[in-house]
Amino acid sequence: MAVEFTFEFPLPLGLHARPASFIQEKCQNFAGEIIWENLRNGRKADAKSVLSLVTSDTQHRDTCRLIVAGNGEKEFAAELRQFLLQELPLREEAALKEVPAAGAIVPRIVLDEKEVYLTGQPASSGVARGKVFVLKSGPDWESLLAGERKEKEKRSRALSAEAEKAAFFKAISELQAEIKQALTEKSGVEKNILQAHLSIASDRAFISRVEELIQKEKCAATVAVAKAAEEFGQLLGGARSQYLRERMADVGDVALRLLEKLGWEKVSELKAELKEPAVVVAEDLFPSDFLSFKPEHILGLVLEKAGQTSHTLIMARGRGIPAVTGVAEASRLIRPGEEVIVDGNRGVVVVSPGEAIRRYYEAEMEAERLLAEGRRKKAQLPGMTADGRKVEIAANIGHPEELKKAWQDGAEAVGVFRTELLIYGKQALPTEEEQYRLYRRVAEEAESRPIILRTFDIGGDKPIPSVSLPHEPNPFLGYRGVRIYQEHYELFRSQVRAILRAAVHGPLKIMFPMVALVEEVRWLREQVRKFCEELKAEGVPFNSEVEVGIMLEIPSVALLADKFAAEVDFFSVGSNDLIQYFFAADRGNPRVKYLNQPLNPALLRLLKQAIDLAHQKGKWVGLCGEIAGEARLTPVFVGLGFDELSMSSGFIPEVKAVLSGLRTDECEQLVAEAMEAATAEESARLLEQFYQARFSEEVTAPELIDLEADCRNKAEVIQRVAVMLQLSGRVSNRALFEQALWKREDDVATEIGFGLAIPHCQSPEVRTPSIALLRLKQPVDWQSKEGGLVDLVVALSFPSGEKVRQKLQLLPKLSRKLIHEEFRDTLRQAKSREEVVALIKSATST
Amino acid sequence: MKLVAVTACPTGIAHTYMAAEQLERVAKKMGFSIKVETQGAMGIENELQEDDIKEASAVILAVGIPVQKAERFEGKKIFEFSVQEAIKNAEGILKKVKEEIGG
Repeated sequence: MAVEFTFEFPLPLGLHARPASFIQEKCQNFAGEIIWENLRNGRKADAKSVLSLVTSDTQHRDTCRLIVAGNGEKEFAAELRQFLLQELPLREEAALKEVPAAGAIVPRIVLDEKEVYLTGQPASSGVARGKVFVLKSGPDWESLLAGERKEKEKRSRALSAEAEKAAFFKAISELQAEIKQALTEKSGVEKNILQAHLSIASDRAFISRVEELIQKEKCAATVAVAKAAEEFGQLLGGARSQYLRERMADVGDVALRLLEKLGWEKVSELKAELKEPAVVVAEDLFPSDFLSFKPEHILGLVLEKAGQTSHTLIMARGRGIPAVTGVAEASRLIRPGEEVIVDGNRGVVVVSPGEAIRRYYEAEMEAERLLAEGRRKKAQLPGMTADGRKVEIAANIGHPEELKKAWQDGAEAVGVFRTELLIYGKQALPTEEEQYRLYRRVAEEAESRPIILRTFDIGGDKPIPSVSLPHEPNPFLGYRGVRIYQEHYELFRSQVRAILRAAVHGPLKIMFPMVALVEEVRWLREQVRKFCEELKAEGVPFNSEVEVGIMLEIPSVALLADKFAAEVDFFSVGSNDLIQYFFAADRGNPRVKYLNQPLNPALLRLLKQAIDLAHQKGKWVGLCGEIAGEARLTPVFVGLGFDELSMSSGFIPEVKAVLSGLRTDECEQLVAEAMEAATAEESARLLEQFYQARFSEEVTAPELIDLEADCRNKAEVIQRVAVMLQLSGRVSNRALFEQALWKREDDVATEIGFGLAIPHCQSPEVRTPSIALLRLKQPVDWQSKEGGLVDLVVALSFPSGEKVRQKLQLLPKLSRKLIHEEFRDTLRQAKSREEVVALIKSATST
Repeated sequence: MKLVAVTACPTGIAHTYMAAEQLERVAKKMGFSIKVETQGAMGIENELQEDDIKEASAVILAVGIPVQKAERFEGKKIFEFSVQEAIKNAEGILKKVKEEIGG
């Protein structure tokens, strides 16, 4: 006879697919029958089927009765009871600790609230919230079924239940065999997925439901499979667990494979239309898809596979649309119409966020708005030093789509448009006409700002299918840039002609890459003259006044800059290549990475000499390498005499802000001293001293004080501190900074009694030592062992490294003061932010 | 009664000094003499000398990380607490020390 026992279901998240699969696994060991009966709702389930168990809708603390019948029932019932109450909760807990994708930072509150989230890589900054629109989602059962109904009417044949069942069983045993075979060949993630597929293809509840549909509802086998899949999908979907969503997708996959076996022609996926603002979720999104949507309809992007440099993501950044990419299986796991939050700063997507998460992200969105406002203000600054010396601040671009963002970021010109990016991966080269149209568009969109087009820089390291180049052992020192133009003359000719023609519509300039010799420039100029004559003869409009410059990336050009200056209109230093050629160190080789020394005095002398020589001949010199965007180095570039700095446009506002506070003579003094140093380390120290002497920032300021912080929990307090520090420019990436604060809290919570907490960290994200203070409107639980409430928060943030040692001395003073009740009282009673600033300053002064 | 103490915490920029201050403050109130060495981000400060240790009736360690130069305290009566305890309950700590050494 059967043995039964009742118990209270122990898992907080209820009986979803993961614990159900653990239970099924356990019950498989028993030869007899096991019935799971949920006494709250009266539902009965087969404990040997995951799907059946899930349909019992068992919630936390539901009382359930288990009936075990078969050989050894008494022993197994005891064993099962022990398993359910002890082992199951432990396994569930272990499974909940999922590892986020590399690059993603999951906010603490998302973990604390046990929200459903997916992770990927941050791809376009900002935060968006909205309903989901899935492009090319999984099978749409409803339309599949509608199609089948039509099909059935057409055939109008009586179905034989027996024949349909036989077809179904044949299909499912074939599928099982195929999966089992594949299982022996695969490993890792793929194996896990196959395992899941097999468990569904063998699931008793699924199989018997299909049978039932064929028998009782006279469905065709195909319809029965689709219907059963839809039913179980519904049950599993909308679930608050990623695991469960994966199983839902698995059910879809298994059903589709069955349908194919049953002779169903794959229904082509419908091209969906985006009719209202939504978060677009897709495997990948072609630029054409992206452009086919109304810009205001795309609130955010969640992509599975798009590369960081894909044009879709470049456009998303240009339009300020938050995006996360590399989100595995996003389009299968997120259902259309669900609400999600896309956190493009952290690479996280929260699905159906709860109240606490919404509040947290409201604050994030407000911070983003304020940051954008601050950036806009900086972006509008003129590219000029405090004493009025003009330094043009320009953008580097690789595609015309980036222009819009460049102007928004405050670019005054385009310092280099890397045209070879247009032809990577293309089978055929663009014709002169195609290039003309593209460059013309760029010229028109420039609205009279200068644009420097660098001609194709192609070489062995970046092969182009349509240009056959020899494979070389050392492509960086080989056949590339202008060196290939004689052989690949048409490539060169069509591009230069296209630029000359497009320059009628705007101020375009030509720049040639990889020039080493004066003869090369003479040849190039001669060709440009020839192209002008050709165009004239053809009667095609062109601009004969187009300025021609060269990249300064080979040391020979630097030393002979006066001679080159006679042949060109301008120079632009490509620092990446110049540094690797100058120090003879491959920039991609980590073993010699230490030789990448932008501040090495030898390099400074080389640059100073080159710029002086060019200036003597009345020619200007720009900088378009990666280091141009490092705002910290701006004083050095001003001191060297650069006339233009060109960078990824995201860096422009910050560089402009630094530039506007510099004086030319002081920067020149700095460079003169650095050129006398012996090592890069010495000149870095001089730069450090330069900053300390001029910009010794106070450790606190009114904008770091909040006397009425409306924070409901510890996570919001930490967030508020991070936001205040980023808004004041003291922290570069608040997501990483938040993480650093939490790391310290995880060691031991920093609540020290007396209602006071002192979150603190030393982190490379912190630019300058900073003290922030929050008085909380309502006390919050600081999650410390003692469970103390906190109403006063003093946050201490320090940069990493030796250079802050001096400033660290103020901390012992402040810390000691905070122990004294009188001092805490004055902080609690202070009437204004300025008063608090004064109190902290006096407590930390020496 | 004379005491010596060492405070140290993982980051060494806040708790170390708070614990030191609290021990000094409460000891004074209770009429003990105490010298507290801090081992923080600034390195070792107010370092305990051989004489300080020799004269002390007990050593209090309020630490969250291993103490540097622990060999100095060999043969002494040592009381170890967490840094948090020293901040929140210095009075309790000192009372306990007093009872145990019968001072």
